[in-house]
Amino acid sequence: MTSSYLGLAALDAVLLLAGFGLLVGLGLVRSGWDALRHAGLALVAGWAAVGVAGSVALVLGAPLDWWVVSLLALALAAGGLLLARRVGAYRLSAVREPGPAAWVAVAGAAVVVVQLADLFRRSASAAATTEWDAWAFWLPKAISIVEFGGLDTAEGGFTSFAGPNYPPLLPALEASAFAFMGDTGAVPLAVQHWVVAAAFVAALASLLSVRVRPAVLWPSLAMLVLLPTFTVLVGSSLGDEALMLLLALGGACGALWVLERDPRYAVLTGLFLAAAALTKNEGPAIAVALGATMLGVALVRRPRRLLAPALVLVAPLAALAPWSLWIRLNDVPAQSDYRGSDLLDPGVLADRLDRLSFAARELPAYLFEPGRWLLALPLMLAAVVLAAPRRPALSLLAFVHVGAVTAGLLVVYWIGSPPVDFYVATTAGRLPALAVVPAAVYLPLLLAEASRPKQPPG
Amino acid sequence: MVERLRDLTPAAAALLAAVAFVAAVGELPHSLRVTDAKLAEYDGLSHIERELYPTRGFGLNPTLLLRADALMPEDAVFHVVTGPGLLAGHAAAPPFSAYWLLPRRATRDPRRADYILSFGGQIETLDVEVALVEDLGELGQLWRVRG
Repeated sequence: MTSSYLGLAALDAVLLLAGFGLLVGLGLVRSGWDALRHAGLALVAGWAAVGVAGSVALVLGAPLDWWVVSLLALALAAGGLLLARRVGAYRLSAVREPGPAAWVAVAGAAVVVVQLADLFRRSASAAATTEWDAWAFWLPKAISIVEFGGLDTAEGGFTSFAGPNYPPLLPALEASAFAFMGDTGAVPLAVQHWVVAAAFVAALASLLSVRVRPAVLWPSLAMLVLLPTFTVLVGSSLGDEALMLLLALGGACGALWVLERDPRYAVLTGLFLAAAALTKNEGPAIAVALGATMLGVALVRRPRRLLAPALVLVAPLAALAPWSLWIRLNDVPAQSDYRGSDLLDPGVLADRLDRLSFAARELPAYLFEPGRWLLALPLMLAAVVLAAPRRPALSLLAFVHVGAVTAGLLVVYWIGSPPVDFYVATTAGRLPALAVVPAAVYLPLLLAEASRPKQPPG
Repeated sequence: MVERLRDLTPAAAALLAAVAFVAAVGELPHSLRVTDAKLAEYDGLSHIERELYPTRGFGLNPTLLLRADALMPEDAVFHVVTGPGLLAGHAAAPPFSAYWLLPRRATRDPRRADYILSFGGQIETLDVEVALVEDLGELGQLWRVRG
C-alpha cells in the first residue's frame, strides 16, 4: 500500500512538472513565489494536459507505462520552456482585503481547509468506489490499458466494456495512476482524486483572486467544497467527477478571458475544454457552447480579436478528432442510451413528448435541491441578474453554461431509450454537477463584478 | 429608479455572498458526520475487503471471484453465467467479474471461454463440455471448458 501512495506522489510530481512548464510558457510563473501561488493551477493544468496527450498517445498505439507518461510530461514542460523564450512574464495581481472584512475571508478559508482535511480523511480511509459505472467500465478500461499495453479492441479489452465509444481521457489518467503505483488496486485512487480536487480549489483561488476580493472569494469557495454532491463525486472515479472539474476550470478561465481579454486565459480555457471533450460524450457539446459564446462576445466587441476565442472553440473538436477517427477505423460500435440523429426525426420527438414533460417536471428538483447542491444555483442565477448591467458578457457566459447543461439533459432524457423514470432516477443525481459546480465557480466572479464601481461595461 | 437599484447592487451582492457562507457553515457539521459514518463503516476491513467493497452494495458474495483469481491463469478467457441459484447480485456478477479478474478476458460466448464462473447459473444450458474445478455450493462453481 505504501508503495502505491509513493507511486501516486511520483505521478503528481510529473503532473506538476508538466503544469509548471505550461505556466512558465504562458508567463504566469517566473519566480518561486509564483510557483507556490499557482501550484494548484499547475497540477490541474498538468493533469488536463497529460490526460489529453495520453489520450492521443493511446490512439496512436502507444502503451501508457510510467515512463511514457513521464516522457509526455517532460515534452509538455519542454514545450513550455521554449514558449517562455518568446512570451513575457505576466504576474497575476491579487485583489487585497483591507479592514475587518479580512476576517470574513479568514473564516471562509478556514472552512475550506477544514472541509478539505475532512475529505482527505474520507479518501485516505476509503474502500474502493461503489459506483456501478466506475467498476463496470471506467476502472476496467483503465486496467485494460495497463494490462494489454494500450487500447485493445479484442474481447475483454478496452472496447469490450460499456460505452466503448466514450473518449479515453479518464481511463488514461487512471491508467497512469496504476502504472505509477505498480498495481491496479482501486483503493488508493481516492487519495489521488482528493489531490486533484484540492488542486482544483487552489487553482480557483489563485485564478479568481485576480478579480474577486477575498471576503467574497473564500466564502464562495467554502460553499463549493461543501456542496453535498460534490463531496460524493470526489473519489468516485466516475467520468462526471473529472468532467465537472474540467468544465468548471474551463468556465473560470473563459470568464477571466471575457473580463481581462488576455489570451493566456484563452489558452487555459482551450486546454481545460479540450480535456473535457475527451472525458465524456457530454463534454464536447458543452465545451463548444462555451467556446461559441466567447467567440460571440469577441464578435460584438471593438477592437475585434477573434483568434483566441476561435482557437478555444476549435480546441475541443481538434482534441476529439483523433479519437473519432480511431473509433471509425476500428469499427467501434456507438453504444449509447440515446442517438443524436433522433433529434432530426420529428416523428420520434413527437412520440416521446411525454418523456420530455416528465424530465422537465423532475429535473428542477435535482438542480435546486439544497440537500444536493445547497443554494449554489439560485445564488448564481441571482448574481447573473445583478452583474448583467455591468458585465453582460460574463453573465451571458455563466447563463449559457448552466443553460447548455440543463437543455442537454432534457434533450437526452427526451430522445433516450431507457425508461425515462429509471433514466432520470439513475443519472439526475450526478449529471447536474456539470452545471452546478461551474455555477458555484461563476458565483464569486459575478458578485465581485456586480459590486465593482462604475466602469465601462465588459 | 434604475440608478437607485444599481446603488443597491453591492449590498445585494454582499448579501448573496453571506448567504453562500451561511449555507456552507450550516453544511459543515453534516459533512463531518458523513465522514465519521463512512469511517465507521470501513473500520476493521482488510485491504482485500476494501477492494471488494462494491460487491456488498449489490449483495454479491465474492468468494467465487477470489477462488477464480487464485486458480485461473492470467491469460485465461472466461464466461459468467448467473441464474436463480444465486441468492443475490445477479446483475452485478458479470461486470464485476470482468473487472476483478482482469487481465483475464471476459467473453459473452461460452464456446470461446476456457473457464466458466457459475453464480447459480444452469451450466447444462450452455452447450459446452465442462469439468468442475471448484464447487462452493450456493456461492457458485468454477468450471473448466473441455476441448
